[in-house]
Amino acid sequence: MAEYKFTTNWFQWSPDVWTRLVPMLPARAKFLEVGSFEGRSTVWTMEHMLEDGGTIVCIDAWEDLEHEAYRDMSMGSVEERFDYNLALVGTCFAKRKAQKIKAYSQPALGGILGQPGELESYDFIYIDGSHDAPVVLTDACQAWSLLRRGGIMMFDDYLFGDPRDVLHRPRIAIDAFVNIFAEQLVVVHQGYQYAVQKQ
Amino acid sequence: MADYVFTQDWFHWAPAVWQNLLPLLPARKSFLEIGSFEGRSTVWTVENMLDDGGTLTCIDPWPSGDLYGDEARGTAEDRFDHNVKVLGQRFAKRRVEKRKGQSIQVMASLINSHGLEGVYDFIYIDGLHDATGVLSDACLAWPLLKQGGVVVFDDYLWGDPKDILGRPKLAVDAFLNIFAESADVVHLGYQMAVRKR
Repeated sequence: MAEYKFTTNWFQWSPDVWTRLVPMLPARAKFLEVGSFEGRSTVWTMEHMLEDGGTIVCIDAWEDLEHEAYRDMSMGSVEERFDYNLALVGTCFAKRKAQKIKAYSQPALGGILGQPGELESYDFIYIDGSHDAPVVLTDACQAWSLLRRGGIMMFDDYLFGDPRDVLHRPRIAIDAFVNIFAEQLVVVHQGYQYAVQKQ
Repeated sequence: MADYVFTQDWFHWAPAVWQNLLPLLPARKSFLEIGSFEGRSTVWTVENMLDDGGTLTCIDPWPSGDLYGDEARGTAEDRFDHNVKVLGQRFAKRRVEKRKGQSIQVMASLINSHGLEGVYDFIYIDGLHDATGVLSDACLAWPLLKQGGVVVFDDYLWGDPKDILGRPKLAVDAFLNIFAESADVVHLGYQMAVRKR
């Protein structure tokens, strides 16, 4: 049987946390992921969280990363691995769908938000796109309108990056978002990732 | 000739500030206003800031039974429509585009259409006044702003200082801190104005 192709394992510690959050979700039908990369979180989510008949929307520009550690990585081949892995998960879980949107997160989320019936309709949203604070904040504000009551929004890499480089890591944006939206959310996980549930 | 109809004058101190911002704008062609109400800022902006051939896009949900409705003179939306009509008679070459809806949805559609290429020279944010609404409006307006363009936040200091989530200040401050590498403060007072670097 064919095997998934992954070159990184940034996701290894997530399943423990995510598995505990699954019972809190209002449903397991409509998921959204910002930053899919080679599809490791996508595959895990489809295998373990999504139910038959459900859909996960995957947004990524598959554009070369600026961070020096990843400068040599070809995003063209990353996208090929995403497509390959998604095709493979599709053969095992034919009733669970993934919808790929290749674009920057702001126009992609904007396109979804502008469609009827999308507002407050997602059960689970994973924010793992650009790690610059302004983009994390914008992703969060847009995605929040798409999350339904009781739904969970998960931020990856809350503690990523150099603590002194506050504008180029997600933390200041997530902290600001959580403070300002305090009346609409409860924190349900806080560690290297950060998860909030909509009230 | 018909005259404008206004019931509120929340805008009277703005012109003095906005005159100073005018020379900073990259052009006077394409403006956006979030929270138009009965159109007082709309009228002033079109009369005094916009060029002939320019367009001001106005976003407001114009909820029915709005707080400041004056029944004898119709709803805020009726007055907006009337004022824009009068304005059109006086400045036929300057256009107002009305977009009725929630700002987050209307701006999301604009970003979807325009991508990350800024299209507006000037954006006025005067919609929801709770911190969540202001933060979302700011984050969504920013990609729509041209380089060198200016965003004005109304009512930066509005509201009860102890009710930090019920007023704009917390959101404007957070926005400015987080966008510090791309935003320069060009006015700070009861309103706050920032220019995109």
